[in-house]
Amino acid sequence: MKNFNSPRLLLWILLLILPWCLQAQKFTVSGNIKDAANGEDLIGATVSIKELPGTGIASNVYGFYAMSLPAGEYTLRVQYLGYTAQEKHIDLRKNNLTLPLELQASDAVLAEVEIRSERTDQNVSKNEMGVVRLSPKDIKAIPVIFGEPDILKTIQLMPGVQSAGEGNSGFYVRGGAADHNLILLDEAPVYNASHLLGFFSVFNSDALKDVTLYKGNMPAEYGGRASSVLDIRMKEGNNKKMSVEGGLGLIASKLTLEAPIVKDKGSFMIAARRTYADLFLKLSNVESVRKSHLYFYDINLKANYQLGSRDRIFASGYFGKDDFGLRDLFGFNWGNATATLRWNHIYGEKLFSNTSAIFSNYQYNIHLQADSVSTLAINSGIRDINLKQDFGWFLNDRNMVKFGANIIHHQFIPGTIESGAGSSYNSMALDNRFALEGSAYLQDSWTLNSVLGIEAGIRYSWFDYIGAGTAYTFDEAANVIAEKEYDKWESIKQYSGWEPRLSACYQLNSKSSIKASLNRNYQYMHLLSNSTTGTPTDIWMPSTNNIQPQIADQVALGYFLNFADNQFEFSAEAYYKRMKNMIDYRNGADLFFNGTVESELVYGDGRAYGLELLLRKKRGRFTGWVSYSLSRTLRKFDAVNEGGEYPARQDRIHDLAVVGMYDITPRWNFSATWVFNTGDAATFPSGSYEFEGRNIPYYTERNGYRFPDYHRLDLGTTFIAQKTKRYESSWNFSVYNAYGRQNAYAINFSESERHPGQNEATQIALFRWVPSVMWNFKF
Amino acid sequence: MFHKLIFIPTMFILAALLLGACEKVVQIDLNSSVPKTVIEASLQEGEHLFTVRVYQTKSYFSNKETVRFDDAEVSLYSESGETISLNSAGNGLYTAIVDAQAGKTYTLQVLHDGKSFIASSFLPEPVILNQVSSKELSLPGEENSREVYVEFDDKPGLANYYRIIVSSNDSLEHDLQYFDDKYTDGNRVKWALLNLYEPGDQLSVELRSIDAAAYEYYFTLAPVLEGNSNTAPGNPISNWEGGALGYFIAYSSSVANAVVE
Repeated sequence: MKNFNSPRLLLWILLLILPWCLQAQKFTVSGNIKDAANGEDLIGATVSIKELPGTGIASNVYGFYAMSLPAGEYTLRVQYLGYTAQEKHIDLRKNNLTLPLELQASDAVLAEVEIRSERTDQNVSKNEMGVVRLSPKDIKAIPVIFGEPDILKTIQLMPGVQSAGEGNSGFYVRGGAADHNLILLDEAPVYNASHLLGFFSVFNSDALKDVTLYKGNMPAEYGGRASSVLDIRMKEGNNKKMSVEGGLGLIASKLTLEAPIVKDKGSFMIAARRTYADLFLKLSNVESVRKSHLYFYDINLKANYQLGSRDRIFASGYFGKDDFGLRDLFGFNWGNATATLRWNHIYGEKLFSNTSAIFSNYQYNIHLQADSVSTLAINSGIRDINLKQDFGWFLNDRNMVKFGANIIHHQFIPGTIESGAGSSYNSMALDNRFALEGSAYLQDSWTLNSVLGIEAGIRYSWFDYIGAGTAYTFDEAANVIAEKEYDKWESIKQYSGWEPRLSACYQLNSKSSIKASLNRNYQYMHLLSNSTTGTPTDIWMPSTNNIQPQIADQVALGYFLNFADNQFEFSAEAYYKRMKNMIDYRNGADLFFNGTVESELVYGDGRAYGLELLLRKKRGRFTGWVSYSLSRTLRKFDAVNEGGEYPARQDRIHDLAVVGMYDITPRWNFSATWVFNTGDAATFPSGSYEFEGRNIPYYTERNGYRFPDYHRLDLGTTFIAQKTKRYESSWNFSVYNAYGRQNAYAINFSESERHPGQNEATQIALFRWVPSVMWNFKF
Repeated sequence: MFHKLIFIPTMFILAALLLGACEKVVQIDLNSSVPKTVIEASLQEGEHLFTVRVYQTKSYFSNKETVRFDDAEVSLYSESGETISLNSAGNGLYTAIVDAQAGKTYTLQVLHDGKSFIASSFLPEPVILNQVSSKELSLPGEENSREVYVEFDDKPGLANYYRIIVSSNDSLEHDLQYFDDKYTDGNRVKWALLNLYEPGDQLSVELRSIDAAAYEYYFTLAPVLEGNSNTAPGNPISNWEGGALGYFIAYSSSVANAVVE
């Protein structure tokens, strides 16, 4: 790990690989791989040549593949999990060939023969580790709180991913912090991924096609966060025929419409979701209840169009909002908006280009009655504009090279306060902060032979904290000792770094493999939050002359095994991760509306290590998985615990999830989830003293205690009430926390109300036996 | 009304409660710590009895009486070089009549068990409470409530820090109410009291002017009083040098009485 600063070595490796690949007379077969039923692009479908063992290329995120081969005739084989494999005879003796492919989804209940034709050994053969992939199918089958399928909660059932709290969609990956996760929706970063207290994620599962979480070892094209990347892709929309799907639930209802714009050429998708608890408030006869509101909605939009054989354009957008109001006394709303414009172009036969323009905005607004005569409005947010160019070069049958660059303009809007006439309050505005963030990368996925694959990548990232703005210098006691003004676009402070991404997969035999990886990530933006689970008022800050970028290094080693004819997948991954320049807060930090908020921060390091085991059954009437992590998450800050190392709150040493789904009949399935984890590390008082007539707890160490162990069982069942070729309706019933365990959400230490003078500890548990029902339909 | 921002976390907790939260008293095994000295002292502007308390912490769930020290040496030093020794009044109390003046810094020293604890506090000029008024505010379940405002003129161009102490119907409220003039500098401030009242309630409101260190003490004490282990709590930032808990605060005060209309 010490020698990480030798990116030149990696560049040399890449340069050595390239000429090796350029030889002989070659022709290229290329095209798009789609789902035959709805025209959706298939991401990561494997294309191989039967006559050339060891060859293999995966389709990219737009479903495009290309493979260069020595002149000749071959049998091309394309495989994708959950779809029937296809073989095509191809003639590449004289010229290049364009070969679009459409695969049929293989229903889980189809005959055994067809199922076996799928390529099911990707767990072992694919050169990737620390990756979690979920399909919307998995997400819908697993029971979650309030019956609303949720990718972020389902992902928490995987090893190495931990929930931020009871029923919460926030998560931590391999000992990282909450802001260490880059969440992308069609390439646009989503800055606040939760609705309503974090109990729902902003992602409507009906609008999604593919969800991939990189827990480390992310490909070089990704960067900007220290721990993980969650790459979410929306559906393209059905380009064969119109389809509608929707659901009515206890909390929210949703509707999705997909249709071709021109059949087989272009399509669109629109999905909307809204909660409606507030509609019942209107029925109240109490005025203050009637005039209150509490709801959220989100809308996903996407359209794509094929312009000739070489060009395709995409437009996608997300808009969501949460709104909470208590009469005219207090109002609070927040939401994300993202927009992505993309243009795919194929240069020649094997160079795939994607150009993206991306916009992302997060904002919250508060208005409150300030005093007897006036109101106050407070606004804050963050806005990004991002230009990105990616190339995928399908060099030959063994090498896939990716390279590209991007630049982002960040605008941080810490806030304004607008007060009405006659108010006690002054209108104020904190200075916006600006930054530019750029990166360039190069990566080769190289299949050396039928047993060894290497993925070598290097990313260079760069960050410039720019004006207009004021740079502050602080003394030890956090007082401003110097200020300097900067003009618009003037550089205040620059950071940059090389981020190597290396991994290798060595196949021991047809059933097992060993994989290893090493990577570094820089994070130039930081989320400041004075709550452990996060609130909508958390603020994003750039790296500045005071705040250094966070850096995470990770090494991992894994063993992968498939058995019983690939019905079972097993993996064991061990990792060690160290994190530098992490952020915590001074005792008494005031993060709210603070122009010199940097003075409230303290810096330190973290490390995490662990072993993650996953056993998964992917086919048959019974499917599911068992995931277990044994891990530690530690922090070390000079300003905390007298500089001693202490466990982070999410240092859950044992973390187990058991997920099972069983098809009782083709129309009726049953699912169950059981989770267990060591209680969170917490700070409890070690003493007490009276002060002004009240008992005050006295603390001696950070996170020296533990919450009780957490465990919970969730049950769900889905029953297909009607199913014809044109119409399907189903019912889903679920119970969250089926045996009603009172898991500690918080433990409060305070003076007893019943026995004044006597202290007591009170435990708050949130959800027990939460039933829900949902009706879904599609036609 | 920035303390209304408390609505944000409160709203989260409320919604969670609506969704079926439950609360119970639990037994937790806590480590015992080495007892630490606590010194509590408030010096009021004008001629008053100045009281200092010296005692120590005990185990969190202990029922035992607090150990109080009567063998400390307590002295108050004024800026002008005057020294006042306090006399032990038993039960951990030390007293003296002191005529404290605004605009001066006072230093308190406590010598006990071979250790020396020193703290200094600046006594700000008083800010006069002009008016107490009320306004109807109906919240779900509390339809006939009144929000009560206290009015005063903040001094412009100067950082002011305040604490409010309320007695309603002759009973002292223990809620911590403190604020600064970061957002209200130089204005006629109408500050809403934390609690809601009903018509006819008799209020006595005291506005204390305190220094920046005292404000920081209350700012860091507030989360500790909530006792919520979901945020990582620390001990309040005390002005005692030598490692004692508690504080030494000099303050000036203005009181207004009113009956809620």
